[in-house]
Order: sequence, then C-alpha cells, then structure tokens
Amino acid sequence: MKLLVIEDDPTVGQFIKHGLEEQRWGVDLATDGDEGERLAATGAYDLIILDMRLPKKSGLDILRSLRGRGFERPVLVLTAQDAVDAKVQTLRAGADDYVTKPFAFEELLARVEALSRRPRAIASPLLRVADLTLDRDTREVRRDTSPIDLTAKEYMVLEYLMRHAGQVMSRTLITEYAWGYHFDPGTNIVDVVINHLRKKVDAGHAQKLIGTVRGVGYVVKS
Amino acid sequence: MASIRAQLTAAYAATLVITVAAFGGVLYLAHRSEDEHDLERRAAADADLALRIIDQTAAAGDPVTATTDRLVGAIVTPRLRTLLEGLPDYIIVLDSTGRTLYNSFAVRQLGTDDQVALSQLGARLPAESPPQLASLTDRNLLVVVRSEQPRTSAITRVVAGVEVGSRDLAGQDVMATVGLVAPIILVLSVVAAYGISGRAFRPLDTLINEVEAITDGRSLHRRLALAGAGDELVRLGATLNAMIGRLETSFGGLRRFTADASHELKTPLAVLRADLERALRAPTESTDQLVALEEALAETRRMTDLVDSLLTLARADEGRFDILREPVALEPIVREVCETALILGEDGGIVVSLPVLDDATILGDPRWVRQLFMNLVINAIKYTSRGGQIEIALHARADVVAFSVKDSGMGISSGDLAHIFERFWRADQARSRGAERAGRGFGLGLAISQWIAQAHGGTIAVTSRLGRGSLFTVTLPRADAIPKAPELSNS
Repeated sequence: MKLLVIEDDPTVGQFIKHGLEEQRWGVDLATDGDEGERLAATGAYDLIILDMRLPKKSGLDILRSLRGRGFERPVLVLTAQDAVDAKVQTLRAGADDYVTKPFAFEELLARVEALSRRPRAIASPLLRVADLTLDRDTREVRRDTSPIDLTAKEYMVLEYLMRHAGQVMSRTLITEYAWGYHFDPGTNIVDVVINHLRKKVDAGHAQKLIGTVRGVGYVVKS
Repeated sequence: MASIRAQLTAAYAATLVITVAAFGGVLYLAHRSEDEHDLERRAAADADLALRIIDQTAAAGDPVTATTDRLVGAIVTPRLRTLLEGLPDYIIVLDSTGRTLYNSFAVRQLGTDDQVALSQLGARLPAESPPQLASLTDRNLLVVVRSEQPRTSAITRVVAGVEVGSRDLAGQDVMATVGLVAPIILVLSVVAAYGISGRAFRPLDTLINEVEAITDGRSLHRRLALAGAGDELVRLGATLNAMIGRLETSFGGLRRFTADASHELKTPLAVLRADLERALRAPTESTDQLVALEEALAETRRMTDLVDSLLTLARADEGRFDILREPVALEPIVREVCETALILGEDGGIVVSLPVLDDATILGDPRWVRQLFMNLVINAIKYTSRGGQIEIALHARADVVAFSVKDSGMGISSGDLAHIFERFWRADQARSRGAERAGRGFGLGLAISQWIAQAHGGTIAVTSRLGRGSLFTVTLPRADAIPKAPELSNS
C-alpha cells in the first residue's frame, strides 16, 4: 500500500516516512503544497498525510481542491491547531481524521491503520513473545496456557511492550500510551505497573520476559 | 460607610436644622428686645400719664389727698382716684415718706407681700432711673419711677409697672410656630433632598453597574453608555471608556502573545519530538545515549504539556470554551482515574478508596473531563504523606453529578485557599514537602481544572483544614437528567 506525506518540515517528514516504512508502507514525501497536490492528483496513493501549514499552497486549499476534483481516498491532517473550530474546519473541508502536533508516532500509526482499513494480517490481533500471548480482540493474556488477569492499565502497558517486543520502550512513551499526553504524576507510575506485571507474568517462571534498561525504560523479549 | 447619597442628604438636613434654629433664635431675640422697648415705653407713658393727672388736678386747685379714715391716714381723693383708675397696669402713688396713697386695680390683685415689695422698690429707686425689673411671686414687672416736683407736698412719687410675662407670650408664640413648622419643613426637605440626590446619582449607579459587568478579559470589549448622563458623568464615562480601551489593547496584546508564542512553539516541539522518537527507536548498544534521549523526551513532553496549558488558558481568557459537546459516561472515566490513583497510592503508601460510584452522563469533552479528574487525584496524592488516605466518589444527584476527592493530607491554609486556582500559584513553605514529592509542577493544574469545570457549565469547590486534609468537589450538570436546554450548548 502506498502513502503520500505532504510536510514541509524535513525532520517531521522524514520521521513519518521512516516510521511508516518500518511498518512496511510505501511512502513518498512532498515538501511543498504544489508538489504535494500534483503527486496526490496522480491517484497513486491509498492514503494522504497532509500538513496544514505549507509553503506555496496551504493544506486546507489542497484538501478542498482534491475533494473538489473527486478525490475519495482517506486524508489524515496534521495540524498545530488544537482548537475545536480549527478541527471542525478541516473535517468540513474533507479530512477524515487529524493528529495534533506535537504527536507521538504511535498515535499517527494507529490513525493511519484505522483509516486505511488494512487487513489484520499485518496488524495481527495475537501478539506472542516466547510462551506469553496477548489477544487484542478478546484481551486475553496467557503465559504458557494459564490465563493471567490484568487490570486495564497493566494490559495497556503489556500490550504496548509486546507490540514492540525486543525494543526498549522509554518510560515517557509508555506513560503517554497508557495515560495520554496531559498526565504528569511526578512519580514513575510505570515502575509500579511493571512490578505488578512481573509478579503476574514472570513470577514462577525460569525465563524472565520483562527486562529493565536502567534510566530509560522497559523491554519485553524472549 | 454610608453612600454619598445618604451623606449628602444628612449634610443637607444638618445645614437646614442649623439654619432654621439660627433663624428662630434671631427672630426670638429681635422680638424680645422689641417687646422690652415697648414695655419700657408703656410703663413710662403710664407713669407720665398718672403724673399729669395728678399735676392737672393740683393745678386746678383741687386737693389731691384726703383723709376719710383716720386709721388709714391720708389717701388720694376719690375724684383723683377715679381718674387714676382709668389707667391700666400697675400704678402706685407714694408720698414723701414712702407711704402708699393709691394702688391701681392690678396692684390690688397682688398678694400683700408683693404689694409691699413693689411699693418698697418704688420708694427705694431713684427717680428717673432706667426701668427696673421687679421679681414678684408669680410674675415679673418692668418698673418705672417718676418723681413729682414739690407742687403738691402730699404726693412725691409715682410708680408704674408693666407685666413682662404677659407680653412675653408673643415671643413664645414665635417659638411655638417655629417648633411646629420646622420639623415639617425638615422632613419634607430631607425627603426631597434624598429624592433629588437619588435622581442625580442614578446615572452614576448605572455607570457603576456597567463597570462592574466588565469583570475579566472576556468583557473588555464592552463600553459604557454615555447618553442621558450629566456633564461630569459623560466625562467620567468617556475617561473610563478610554481606560477600558487601553486595558483591552494591552490585555489583547498579552493574550495574542501567549497564544501566538504557544502556537509557534508547537512546531519546533513536534520536530524535536520526532527527532527524539526516531533516535530512541534506532538500534543502539549505548545505554547512556538512551538515558539522555529519554530524559530529553520527558522534558519535551513536559514542555508540550505546558505550552498546551498556556494556549488553553489564553483561549479561556478570550471566552472561548473550546470543547466538544458529546455525551460522556463518567463511570468508566472515574474507574480509570481510580485505578491510576491506586497505582500512585501504592507507590506513595496511601490507601485509596472509591466508596460511591454512581452512573451519570454529562455533555462535554471526554478528554478534558478525564484530565480534570486526573488533576484532582494527582494533586491529592502529591499532598498526602505516607500512611494517608484518599477517598474518591462520584455522586449522582437529580440534575447534577458530583465528583469528589477527599484526602488526609497537609491541607491548605485559609489564606492560601483563595489563591490555589490562580495561574502559576504554588504554596510556599507549608507545602514544600509535598512539592518535593510532586516534582516540578507548573502550578497550572488547578487553573486548568477550574477552566474545564466552568467550560462544562459546572463548578469546582474546595474545603480544607490545615493539617487535616482537603476536599475538592467538581459539580457538573447531568445530561441524562435534564431536558435539552439551549444554554447547555453555548459553544
């Protein structure tokens, strides 16, 4: 599946491009409004990620002109405006969804996946690390065959770590995923949840799946 | 302090009382001295007339005295007596030894003591002396003495007296009139003065109400109505309008700056964040590098949070309650908030309980409601020490729902209580222990919380006792209890 990112800031553009390519999307990057609209009009893309503030032609103008010409593929808007009326304006102009800057890549990816209605073959509901399994449809977690009972937050943290199995996830990213951006408890709430998870997942097992990287965060790997 | 209107009326009334009293006093005194002159003239006339009668009788060769009763001795002749009876007032005729030859009718009405006292006074006074006041038992007399030239040896002295008290009634009449009329004038004047000053001040009252209505940045666009006011008030209103205009300009400038700065910061923050996330994902063996990146990411996140908060409050100042209006079930949000509190409580050795969890739906923005509840719970955790307790509750009432967080923490002093919802406000020494645990908060949490509650048509209230703990209560209108009212959707 192919995706067009229209974003003038090279850092943000490259960040989205690389992140999505890691998720096996084909990504093209346009850095100004005119180029973006020209590429979009070719019809080669399944989804467009469109920044609102662009040189030469604004994102809103591009959106209106594409929709005016009968472009029907999903458009995800990137905006620094989180005022409700600004969001309503982009949705009225034909955007399918929006992500407010600054955003976590995780959020962008989740919205892209939702909009593209990608088959679940890629985003499988079953996550597995060694003998630990997590079913995202039924929210069932098992170690070997015995079910593990998790609270809502414990489930979210484990699911996040298992989705990125083998990768160190920082405390900040985990906190943001499970509690959102505007959450600053002043203590390391993630440490407490990880403690719970260790007792429920790793206790009594020879192979410990949850690892710590001191000062950074946690990793789930076999 | 009394209003200017009352002060003005009181001052007017006092001035009026003084004026009336002074006028009455002067009138009374003038009347009195006029009376005295009158009386003096009358007494003198009486005496002169009596003297002339005696003179003429003597000149005609008639006797003036005769002895009809040996026991009594010589008295005026009946003929002279008849003539003298024609004179009113008090007349006494004395001979050279001071013996009484004649008492007028008025004198005869006096008591014996008074008759004696009067005749002795008449005998003692030098002739042609200024009129003298004689105090008798029940009245005062103004007495004039005339001496007869020795044409007739028998009569040497005439005493004439006029009653002072009887003429004094006129002065009392004046005072009675003044005393009767003055209160009426006073009451009427005060009522009139109060009414007139009320009318004069009505434009001022209107002005005050209008200025009072301009409470914050949202109402600075208003101007005072100038028509119908008096000259000075028009000037005052125009001056105030100019001042409000300047306030609006600087307030607007500040607001725009905050909004623009916040907005402009978002893009670099997005870039920074993208960089950090990418670096964190890149495969590396260096833990040191990851620690640095994680720290940078945590700071970036905190800064993003601050910028978002500033932007939200800047918008709130513009009166923009920029929130969604959709049905939000509170029960799941409170459950999530409570689980978070349990986790934080476990870390801080605090017992968290949820005794009441009703089901209620409001109209609003789930993101903001969640943040509001989270803020209060995190706040409670921050300021409660190990071994404390926190009670979270969601009470549904008929048309409102109350979310409350009660802690057994350090509490807030009554002096601080008024300030806790202010921006960037943080308690000083008393809360330092909590602040240490709380990390470096920006002091915007409660300001944002209050904005969220207000934006949802609700309120946030706090009661607290120092050393005992605090109780924060958020009250929001229920969407599932009241019929759809237009004021609910003031977007």
